[in-house]
Amino acid sequence: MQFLSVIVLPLLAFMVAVLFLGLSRKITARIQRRYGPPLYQPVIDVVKLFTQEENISHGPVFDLGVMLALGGSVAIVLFIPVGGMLGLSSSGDLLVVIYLMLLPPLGMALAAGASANPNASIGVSRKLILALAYEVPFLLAILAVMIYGKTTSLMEATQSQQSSVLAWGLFRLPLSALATFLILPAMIGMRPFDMVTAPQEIASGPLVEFGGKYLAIASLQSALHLYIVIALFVNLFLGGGANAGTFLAKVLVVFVAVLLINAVYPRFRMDQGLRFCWKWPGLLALVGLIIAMVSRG
Amino acid sequence: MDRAQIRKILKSPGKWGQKYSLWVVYFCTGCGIIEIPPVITSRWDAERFGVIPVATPRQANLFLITGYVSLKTLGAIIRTYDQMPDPKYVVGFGSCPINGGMYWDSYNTIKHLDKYIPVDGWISGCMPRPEAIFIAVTHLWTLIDKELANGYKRYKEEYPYYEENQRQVLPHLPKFTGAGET
Amino acid sequence: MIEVEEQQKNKIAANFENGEVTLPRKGRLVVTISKESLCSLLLFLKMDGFEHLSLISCVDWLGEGELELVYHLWSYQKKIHAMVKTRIDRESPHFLSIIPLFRHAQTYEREIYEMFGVRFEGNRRLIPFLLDNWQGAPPMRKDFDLRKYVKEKFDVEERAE
Repeated sequence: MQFLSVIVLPLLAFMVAVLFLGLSRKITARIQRRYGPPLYQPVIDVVKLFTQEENISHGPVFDLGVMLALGGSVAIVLFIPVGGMLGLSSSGDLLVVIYLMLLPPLGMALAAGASANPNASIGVSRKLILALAYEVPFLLAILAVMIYGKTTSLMEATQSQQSSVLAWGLFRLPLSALATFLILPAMIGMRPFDMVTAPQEIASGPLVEFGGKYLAIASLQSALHLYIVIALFVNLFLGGGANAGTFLAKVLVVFVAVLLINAVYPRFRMDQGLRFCWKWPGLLALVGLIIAMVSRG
Repeated sequence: MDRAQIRKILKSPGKWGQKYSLWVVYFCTGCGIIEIPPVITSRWDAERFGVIPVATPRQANLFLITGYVSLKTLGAIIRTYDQMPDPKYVVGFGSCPINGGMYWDSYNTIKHLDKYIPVDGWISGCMPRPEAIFIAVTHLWTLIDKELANGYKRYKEEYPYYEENQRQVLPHLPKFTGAGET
Repeated sequence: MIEVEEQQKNKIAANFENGEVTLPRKGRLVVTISKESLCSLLLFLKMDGFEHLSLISCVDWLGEGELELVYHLWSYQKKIHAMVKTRIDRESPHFLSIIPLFRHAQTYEREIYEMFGVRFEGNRRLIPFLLDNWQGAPPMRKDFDLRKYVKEKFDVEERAE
């Protein structure tokens, strides 16, 4: 059963990620009062990118960086429980997930550095500053969850919320949940925090020299990252799910909420983004951590 | 989608992908670019056709030359076209790339774009309306289906012809003088 | 009020004898003067309220063998557009640069140098910026054969006339 879930989890993650890409373009189009592309448009895009006759590479470091990013994301997916399927979940896996979440930005930074384009370096520096911005409230919130539940296992943190709706992390640790929700767009890279790949400013940032199959892998990786972050949020604060159906329904609700913010807001500058992430979400997460430490002795 | 279309997709998914996902490199050539923002925004929505603008030529496979092409712009267009990965399609937009248009006797604009880069289709008008652009996109789909949109192959096979024409008007391009090599 | 233009005309005529001033319509003032007195006239007008240099343009009088430089000045207070004209020789034309008076005249003089071939002494930046690797005669002159140049350079075929 465990072995089966190791295969099913990444497949499920890819399908949900591609569905979310199409859903985001369709919903954004409807908000802007137009018909958008069909829901399966990301499939057409990925097929086009993989069947391109010429894929311009910039050396072995470029290829390896892209594969490192995708591999890191797939590895994280194996640790996030989906309803009944546990994958590789065991004790201590919350710390493993936090460490593994460093791999995708590292891979993209390697690939962008190998492409030797100044736009890519600007994009990578923005990505690292943004990571610095959202890591502070994120780690404080996760610390609060770990101290409150007296566990470092994602599986136990999820299953301890299953007893009733009021046992959700949202109601037990409201400040930490609010802080994490406020920085969800920053972790995913959606507006108002999409200054990393800003097409109008820095010609797509790190992705400026990506074409063909490399671009396909990079966009699949960013879609997987979207799924990972939202799934983590749902597992930690919204009670996971008794089975895959309720879990995916909750993931969809959170995704639509983040997408509605993305469709309406413009883009932050880098210093505004940094200041925002450290001010209110940071303070809320810190206060939530103190409350968790105090209430558990 | 009906059964005939699904069979067509399964027979050649590459063509299906190239057709319904044409990404335009957002290079604003001349005065004709003023017609592109209405096409990609809400009123005449180009995203239904799969056409979105991208910021870099590495990610694009359609190049719209909108408006007149002066010699300085031609240098930039050649560099951008050389950077796009295969298969790539070029559409001449407006009457200036076709035969010089309004600037047919100007000392600084080129008269026939097909001599310098291979062009797959032309849209006449000064400026063409958005509906004309959509008709051109559907024509390009038909050409891709029948494998007649092979400008990129022509470029590779007959490169000496294009290179000679490019050298005649732009002898100082870095790819000819070898400047800027790192 | 036509009085403002009249006043200005009298002021100029009083100070510069060899300048011919006309008022074609309300808000316009045209002064034709010799090239030796041009710079002092520009300085006089600048001190008198014409602080804005809008443009420097050039006209090619092929029949008379001269190039005419026109300096367009604008006064915010009096709302008068003054055009100060002078003629210079057509073979190897050169003139003084008015950068000490108006610093942004550098770009206008660069354009006239590129398009008509007029050298401006004192302008240290007479490098081309409009045309790319231009190898021919200055293109805006009236004796520049446009059709012949286009036919040679771009290799266009003869059309059915």
